[in-house]
Amino acid sequence: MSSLFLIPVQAENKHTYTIGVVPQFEIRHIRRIWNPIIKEIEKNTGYKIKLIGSPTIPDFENEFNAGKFDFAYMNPYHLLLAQDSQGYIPLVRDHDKKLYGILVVRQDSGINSIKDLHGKKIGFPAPNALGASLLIRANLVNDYNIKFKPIYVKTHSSVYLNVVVNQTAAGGGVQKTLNQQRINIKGALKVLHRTPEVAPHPLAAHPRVPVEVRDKIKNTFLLLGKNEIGRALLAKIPIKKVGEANVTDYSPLKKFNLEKFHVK
Amino acid sequence: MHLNFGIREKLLAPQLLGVSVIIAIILFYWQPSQLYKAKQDFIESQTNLIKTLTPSIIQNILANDLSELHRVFENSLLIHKNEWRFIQLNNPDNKKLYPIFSRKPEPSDTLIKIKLTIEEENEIFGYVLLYTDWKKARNKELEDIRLLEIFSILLFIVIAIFSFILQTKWIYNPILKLKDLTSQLSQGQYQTKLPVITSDEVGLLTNSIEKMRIKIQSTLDKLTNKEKMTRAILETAPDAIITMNTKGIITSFNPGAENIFKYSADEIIGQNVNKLMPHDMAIHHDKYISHFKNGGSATIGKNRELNGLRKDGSIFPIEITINANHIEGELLFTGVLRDITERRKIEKIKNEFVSTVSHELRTPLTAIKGSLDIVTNSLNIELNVQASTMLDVANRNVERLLTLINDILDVAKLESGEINFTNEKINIISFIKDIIEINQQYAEKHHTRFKCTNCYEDIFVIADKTRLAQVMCNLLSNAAKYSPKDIPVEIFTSINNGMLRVNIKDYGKGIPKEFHDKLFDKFTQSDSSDTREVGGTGLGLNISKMIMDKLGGNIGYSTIEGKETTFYIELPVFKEDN
Repeated sequence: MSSLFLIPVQAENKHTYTIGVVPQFEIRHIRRIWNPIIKEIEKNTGYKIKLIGSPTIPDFENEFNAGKFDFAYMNPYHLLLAQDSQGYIPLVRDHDKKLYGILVVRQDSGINSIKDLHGKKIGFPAPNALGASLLIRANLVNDYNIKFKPIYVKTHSSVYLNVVVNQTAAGGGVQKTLNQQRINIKGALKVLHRTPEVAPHPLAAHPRVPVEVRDKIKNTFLLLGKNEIGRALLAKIPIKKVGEANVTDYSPLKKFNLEKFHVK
Repeated sequence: MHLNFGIREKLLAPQLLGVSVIIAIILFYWQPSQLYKAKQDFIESQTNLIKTLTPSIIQNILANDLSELHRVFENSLLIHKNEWRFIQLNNPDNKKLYPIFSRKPEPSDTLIKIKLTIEEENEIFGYVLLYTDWKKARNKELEDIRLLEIFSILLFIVIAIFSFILQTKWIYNPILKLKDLTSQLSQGQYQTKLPVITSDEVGLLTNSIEKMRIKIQSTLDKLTNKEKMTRAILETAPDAIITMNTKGIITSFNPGAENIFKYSADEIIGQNVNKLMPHDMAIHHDKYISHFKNGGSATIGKNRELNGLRKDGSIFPIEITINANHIEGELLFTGVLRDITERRKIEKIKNEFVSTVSHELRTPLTAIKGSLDIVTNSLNIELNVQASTMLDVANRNVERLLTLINDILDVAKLESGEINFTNEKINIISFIKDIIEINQQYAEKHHTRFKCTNCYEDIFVIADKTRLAQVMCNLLSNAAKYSPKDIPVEIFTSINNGMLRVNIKDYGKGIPKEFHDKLFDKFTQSDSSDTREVGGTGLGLNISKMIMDKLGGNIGYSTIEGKETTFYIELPVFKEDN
């Protein structure tokens, strides 16, 4: 029955499309970010856009794998999954910064190379967090061939605190969240390693959405990136510098073999 | 403990002490203990606050979510910012999980350290250390305590003041009033009535004192009246009543005495009583007094006849009785004496009359007796029975009359002092034996005998042997007369206080009580109905007493009615050095 809702509906010359957003934040926050953008899209395209919230990331994953969303803003690894399951096509992404994970240790820990972490506990927010967990774990195993004990501590802040209080020898995070930590926490830590960079989160479209609709939506985003107000709206997603996204942007990610590290 | 305080101060003292003790208890016991309790309560409440965090602490430790854990502590510190100064969480290995950078606060009086183990189902997850400041709670508690303290202390002070006021009103004031009134009593003003103000113990006391006052007043009135009466008697009595102290100094001298001795009271009071005695008596007088003081009382209470000395130097016979009394702690002798010059004159006339009459009677009676003896014994005349009986009656009555006249003559001679006493040293044991021998026949006539049961050897007395024998014969014959058949009369001696006592004891029916006082009077026999049965003139004991008095001895008796009678005579034991 749910599939009925997945079929684009045209009513009174107005098509309604659904959009899903990876629940990195709580749904209310996501709605505050996306509602003004959706309004702009509706204004520019004349389509009706409906934001569908997913309670958890696994729900979100299940839903895009089932093709529930016409459009979806997801992380790069999700895109790989979505390409495989439904053939989602990336439309736009941030061109400002690439996505990478960082591995932090205490300044005074005496750990200077990744090899030093062999056999140690390393904290991560969650198993499937892309930058802070998947990329790092894959990187460490694939490229440095060390064994370690992953400890999942829920949030980035928690990762950093666990390192500071020596509960874990190192922790996986991203530069942005590290920058957000209190100065004394941040000051107690040093970045031991950065993973190779990957293209950041894309907005992808389900292949069932007609090409012109996809283009209209893509153009609306690109248009928003051209004015101050639009950029401010997109920055909250966060997309600081919007640009087109291609399938090839995400092919380097495949090398990480993230499916081996993804926890279902 | 002697406290030199008034009753009001003494009443106030326990109240002040009580209030002080209460204040001390409040300040030094109650307040600290309340504060301690409050502190314990505070610690308990703070511990409970930490305990409320336990679930989320455990939850976040299990999830390794230090960020959330920190948020929990930071929120709690914010919520309890008034008390919580520092909180620390260590893991079971005692590695610090929170905080990362803040330090423990400096210790202070009000900072309390609470340690709590975070555990669930016996699994330890960590240790919380809380530094909490109970300054605010303590100040609040102190404020409450102070308020209560001030209230309690004020209450106790008010109660003390109130009770002091009541004590003053109920106890002190009535006592004060009573004191004023009784001080009048102590000054001899017994007329002032004591009003009973209250119905309590003070009232009862007042009532008792009032009763005492009435009694004292009435006793005083009685005494005054008695004294007036005594004075009237003293002043109007014809007898001389003289008091003197143990030194012989005269302290009172009534008008009767003035009249007898012709001294005025003023001139004789303060003088020695020797002034009222002829020289031969006066020289012995001091000895009598010292004898009395040493326990002797031979002359006290007895009627004696002595001689007095008037102011003009004339000597006159007196009859005197001396009594000793302790008055206001001082031993005083009171002598009541009367001039018996007139009585002596009359007695002399009487004795001369009796003597003359007796002599005049005895001569013809002796002749009659001689005649009767001749008729009865010497003439060989056959008399018929009637005549013989009549002669017997005449003989017996003549003998009785002669005995009576002899006795009367003895009495008269003794009373008039015509009999001369020739004293000699007598060995009392041989004397008694002789007397017994003489009288044994008489005893046998009465179916008894005399028996010397316990007589001291070698005891001597000084006496007129004939007169002493007369006394002994009288006592022995009396005993024989009253002794029951075949029961001997016992004669035995004893010595007491230098006096020899010769006892004559019979087991007769004793002397009836009514005769005890007059036994030594003239013409006395214990039962007049016995006269015929036992015979006797009733003058024997009277003569014996007069002889013993003349010999300087005593005569007396003891009796148990229906059982026994013991007569005794006493004489000073003779010692060679006397």
